[in-house]
Amino acid sequence: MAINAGKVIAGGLVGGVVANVIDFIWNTTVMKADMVDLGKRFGMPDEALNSFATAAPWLIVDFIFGFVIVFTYAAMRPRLGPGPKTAMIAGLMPYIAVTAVLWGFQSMGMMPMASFVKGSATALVTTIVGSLAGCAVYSE
Amino acid sequence: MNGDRGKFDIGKLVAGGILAGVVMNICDYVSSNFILVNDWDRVARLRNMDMAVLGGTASLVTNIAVDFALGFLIVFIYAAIRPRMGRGPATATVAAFLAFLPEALYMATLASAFYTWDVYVRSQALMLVSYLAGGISGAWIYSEPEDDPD
Repeated sequence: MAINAGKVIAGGLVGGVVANVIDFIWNTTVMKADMVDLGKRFGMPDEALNSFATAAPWLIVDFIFGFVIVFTYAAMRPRLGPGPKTAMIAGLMPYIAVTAVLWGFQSMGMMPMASFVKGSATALVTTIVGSLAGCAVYSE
Repeated sequence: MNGDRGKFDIGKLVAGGILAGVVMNICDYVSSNFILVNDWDRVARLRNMDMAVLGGTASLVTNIAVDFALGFLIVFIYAAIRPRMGRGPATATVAAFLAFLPEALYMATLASAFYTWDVYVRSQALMLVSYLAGGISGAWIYSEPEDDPD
């Protein structure tokens, strides 16, 4: 049976909206100081850090992550079965891919370990909630 | 697992993940130490990174572990999507892309701050080669009892 492309798009949009809302909350509260510190490390001016031009790629990336996660969920369903457990596994795939590479960069001195751990923990929550929301829309 | 197409072959998953990790480590060693060596040196100086940390043992060990983790991840994705997409290199390529795309997108958001765009494009092109080579190698090892002998 083919993947239901329409439902992948709908699920990806829902997942992307949910992930963006949660990321906004993290980035303006728990992660705010870490983001400012990271910006300073990279020599970014404060106005760039708070600009829409800097935020826009992150907004788009959350939507693309949503599509990737729902597509992965759809592709895994015949083996793992439909439902929230498979949705979380599908969400963990891009999460692990990104977190593993960031761990490598952290070891090279790109960011402090505390920021990496905090960022990974908040991203895990975002990923799981976004995955559950997006994959709930997908059906066959 | 809960699906209706049988279980993973865990032994083959481990073997495929190890092979994928070895292949990805070889690819990354070549790209980091030969092809991109001047680019990384330029980025490190641009961002005032500590060269001792950058080239230290902890960094080396972590990045070797990261490639093995990614190798296992790609082979797991391959095994999980096989019942829907079929076995073979085309599905392995899809599995590699499902791991590569999020990483490449995430790094793109950091490109203007951490990298320079030219280094980003070159490093991600080589990462894609690494993911595809690792994924296809690992998937080649992974098989299941119901597979027909070719």
